[in-house]
Amino acid sequence: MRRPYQITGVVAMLVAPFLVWGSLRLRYYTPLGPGPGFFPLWLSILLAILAAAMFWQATFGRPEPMPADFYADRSGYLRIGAVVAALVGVIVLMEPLGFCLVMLGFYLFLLTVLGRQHWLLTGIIALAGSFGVYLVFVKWLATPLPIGLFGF
Amino acid sequence: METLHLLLNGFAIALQPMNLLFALIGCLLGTLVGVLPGLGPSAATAILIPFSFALEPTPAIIMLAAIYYGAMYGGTITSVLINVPGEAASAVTCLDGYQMARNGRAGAALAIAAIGSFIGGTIAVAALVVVALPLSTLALRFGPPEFFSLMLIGLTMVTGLAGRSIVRALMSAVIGLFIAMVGIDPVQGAPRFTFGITEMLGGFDIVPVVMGLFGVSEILLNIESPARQVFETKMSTLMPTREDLRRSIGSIMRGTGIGLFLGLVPGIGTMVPTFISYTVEKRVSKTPEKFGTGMIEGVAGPETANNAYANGAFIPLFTLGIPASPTLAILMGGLMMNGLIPGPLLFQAHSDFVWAVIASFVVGNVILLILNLPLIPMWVAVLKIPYSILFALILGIAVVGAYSVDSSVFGVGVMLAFGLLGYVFKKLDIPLAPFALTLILGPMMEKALRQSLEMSGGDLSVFLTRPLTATLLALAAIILVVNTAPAFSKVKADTQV
Repeated sequence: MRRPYQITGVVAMLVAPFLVWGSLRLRYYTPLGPGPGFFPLWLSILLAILAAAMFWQATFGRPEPMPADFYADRSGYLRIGAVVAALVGVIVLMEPLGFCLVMLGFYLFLLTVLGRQHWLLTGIIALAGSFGVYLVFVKWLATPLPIGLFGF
Repeated sequence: METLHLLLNGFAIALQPMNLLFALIGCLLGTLVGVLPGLGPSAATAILIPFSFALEPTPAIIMLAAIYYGAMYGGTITSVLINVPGEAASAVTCLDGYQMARNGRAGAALAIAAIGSFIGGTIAVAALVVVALPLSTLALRFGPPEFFSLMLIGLTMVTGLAGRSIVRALMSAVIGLFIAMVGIDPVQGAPRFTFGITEMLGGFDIVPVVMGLFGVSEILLNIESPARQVFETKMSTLMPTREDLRRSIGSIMRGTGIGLFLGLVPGIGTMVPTFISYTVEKRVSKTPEKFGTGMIEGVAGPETANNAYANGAFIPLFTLGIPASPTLAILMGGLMMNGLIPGPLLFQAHSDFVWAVIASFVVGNVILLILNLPLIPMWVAVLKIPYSILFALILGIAVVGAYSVDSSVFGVGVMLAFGLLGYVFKKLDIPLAPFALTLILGPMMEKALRQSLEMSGGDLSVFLTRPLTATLLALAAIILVVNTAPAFSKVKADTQV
């Protein structure tokens, strides 16, 4: 597990100066006490120190054994990619197209591509998870959900 | 007498049909989500928080609390039936619970867990009733410096949740604090790290953040591997035998004492009481060599300690505003979203509410005991649903929850982003508990520090001249040293190799 911690340490060491810079743009101290930049500045410095410690431990300490499942196989990453893509699709399309249509597509996509279930079961779950949930939340719980071009 | 009167009034509210209904719904939802593979109480509570938005605060928190302890019991079910702990606290239950299940005694294991949880939980609630008012009255004398010191104790407890690396735990805590800083500064109103994005001015809502960190990340980890846990355990009778009960009584009493005592210590984590209880049971047993082969004491003790701890941990949360575990931190977020700030003022400003919720713990424990034994076959059926269907359903619920926080897809984006961050954290074995605790405690701690310094005109000696503050700070320092010393000696040993 040496390399993943070295990379994490380096990434955190690169992020920390940016955060220090952002903190310095805020007021550090005011006549009444610490300003909005006080906490973020010290946290950024602490992050840099911890990042350096992580890098140091990973490089010079006893390496921790790499778990067998640390890296997924290609199909594993494709499954993760499919879930992330489905969620990005929801984020982009939910407001223009409405909750029902987008969630219908969301379930159809996930259950077909990853679930590989029978089309009838897929259809029932997709309808219940989209139009069914819409009815429960909007009509029963009075929680607003996005209405798209088609009025649902 | 005043406490008894308040408690009876609390029962009158908790037993109102609507509140009873939401306690029942919470127990069922919590157990259901706790049973689902890969989702522990933290993720379950986080994902289900939005379901409380449409409710009044009292039924909302009654339901959330029921979800919390329902999910804890749900975790036990998976530990016994498929050897997968729903959360760290149930891990030790796998040792003998799963072996009992393999011997065809899953029903007895689950029943004794439910009975022990009920006894431990009820006694812990009784303790909460006794100490709540005196402790909150004492805490009412606290000013910002005392609150800052108290929250510092909460943060130093983070080092106790470090897992295998203190550096990784502290990094998690610092990142959590930083995320908490995003948005309008609470004292002077300056925007911090918002990058001109309007939605970030209000800061990150706790709910989508924890839904992503605990829920989405768990789903990503689960779907990464095609391996499936298939329930194959045979179920026999659900009721424990007279001999089971006789052997369990002592374990349940010892578990109650251990869980309750450790529940009073904020930040100890849910795993410690169960492991201590298991160790004690093994020590007092005449046949310690049989532990790990299906000894009912190995289920009764830790499960009781777990629930006594879970209920006892409400004492520091309600009276001092310190969450003892990530799940309680999430629950605290749920309270705050309903306009209720845990701490001594809660007992003053919302007395009816807080006593109704405390009474609902007893009601919830009864509901869990009555419901769960007959419903075990149903939970077994849930375990047979393929994960390829379950994960899509959980994600769908999470999307609805994240959206409904502020009726914006920004919440869904936040959930996804923190889901990916949580996935990376879990891969790197960076604990999420410190992140969750600092995310909740950070803003309050910053506000208390800045108010303290404003009070003293910027003079830091305000923390040393007030006896209570100085004592609390000394305690924080002792906790920090005790928790970190072994880790640093380990680092030294490691780097010398």
